[in-house]
Amino acid sequence: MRWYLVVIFAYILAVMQTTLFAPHLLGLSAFGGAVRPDLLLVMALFVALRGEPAAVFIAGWCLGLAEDLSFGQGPLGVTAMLFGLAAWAVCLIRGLLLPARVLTQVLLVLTVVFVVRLPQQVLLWWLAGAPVDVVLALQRGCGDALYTAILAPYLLWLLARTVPRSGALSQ
Amino acid sequence: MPIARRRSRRNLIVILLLVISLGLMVVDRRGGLASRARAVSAHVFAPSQSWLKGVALELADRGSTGDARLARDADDVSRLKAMLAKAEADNATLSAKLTDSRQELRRIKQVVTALPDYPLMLVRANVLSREYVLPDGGLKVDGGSGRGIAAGHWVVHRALSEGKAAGVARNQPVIAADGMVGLVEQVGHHVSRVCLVTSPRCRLAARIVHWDGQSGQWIPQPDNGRIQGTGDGRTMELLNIARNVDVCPGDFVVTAKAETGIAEHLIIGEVTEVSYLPTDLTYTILVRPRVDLGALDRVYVLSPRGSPSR
Repeated sequence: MRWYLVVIFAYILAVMQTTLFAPHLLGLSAFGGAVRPDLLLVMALFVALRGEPAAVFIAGWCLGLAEDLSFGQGPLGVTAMLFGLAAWAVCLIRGLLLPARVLTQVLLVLTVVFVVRLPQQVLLWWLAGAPVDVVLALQRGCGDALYTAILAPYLLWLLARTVPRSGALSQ
Repeated sequence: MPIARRRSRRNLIVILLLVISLGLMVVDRRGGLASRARAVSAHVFAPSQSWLKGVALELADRGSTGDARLARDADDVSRLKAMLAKAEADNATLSAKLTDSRQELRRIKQVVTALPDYPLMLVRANVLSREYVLPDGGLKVDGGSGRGIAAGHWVVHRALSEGKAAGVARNQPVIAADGMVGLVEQVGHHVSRVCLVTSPRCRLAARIVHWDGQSGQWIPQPDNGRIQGTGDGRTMELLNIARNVDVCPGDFVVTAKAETGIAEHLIIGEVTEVSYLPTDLTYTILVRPRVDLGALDRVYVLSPRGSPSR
């Protein structure tokens, strides 16, 4: 994999994610709050479907850290660790998936974003000493997961065309 | 590099990253380090974000219909108006506080100007003892049942950060902003101990300053009495005040001139209860200290000018 392309894409996606999804632009209001897609997590999933486990974890961790730095709140390390673990888990089960199919991509992204968002939100509240609102965390997780899942096939297609054509997405 | 060696190195990095994540979460819970890191990373992201946002807003403006734009502008205007109203309210509050502070400063300057001619000097001291003020105003002391302390007991002594070296001597009055705190009981070179006014061992000559509703004035009563703590840690008892003296709850009790040489008119407390028996010639007057003795921080010892100093 051309890692320099991953770095460039990560930067572009971080900028897009923090800029374009403001309330007056592409940001949506649903599930009782603002809903934003997690493009960096889609990038981490793309890497997870192609790389070897340790490299996938490292890449996921770095992408999580980029999100922590560009968009995150609270202490560093929460998003980084969750991204790394999520990417590593997907890497382990990717043999069971058919990631070239759009439906698989949508369902995978939907699941992973929801599974990452929920503990991320709860952990950040807990670490900040704020009251943990599980219902709100579920709502945000659902909203973000749906929005990300809608955009994911386009982004994964773009990434698959840009980085070398090898790995699970082109099988 | 052999593949196995490369893998083991990568696994080591994975473990290291996990440890770093957990470490950051535990050590930097309040996000101080994260804020600094984000401030640094803003140099990398901000230029592109600013440019992209400008482009996106421009495109959104071109693409939106007139009504949508008007609705958004109206939202912005109402938000800005709310911010302006809040800023004006904050400004008014701060201006009022500033005026109060200026008046206070002027009063302090007047006092400071007059001080060199005054026969007494104020020795500033901090309350030192290993006792802690609790959120509800109570005190926590560094002793327990092992030292004979039990629930319901009250603190009657406090330690000060000044002693002989600053001119503090025995029986000098200790005051705070609201009134009298107690008398210096023991003096060391750099520390001293105060017997609080609520202690039965703190005895002072005192008199009543009565509020005369008809004339609308505070009138010092001529008779002196003796005030001392009742022992409950909260109240004092003023004795030997004759029945012909005007006194009622809410009146002030101040120090009176006596042989001990304590300055006059230092406020000790407020009268809370006045009682007498038909056969008594004097009142029994309960007094509450004016100073919150549970929340003492900085106090002043009234020391005669010319006493030994550093």
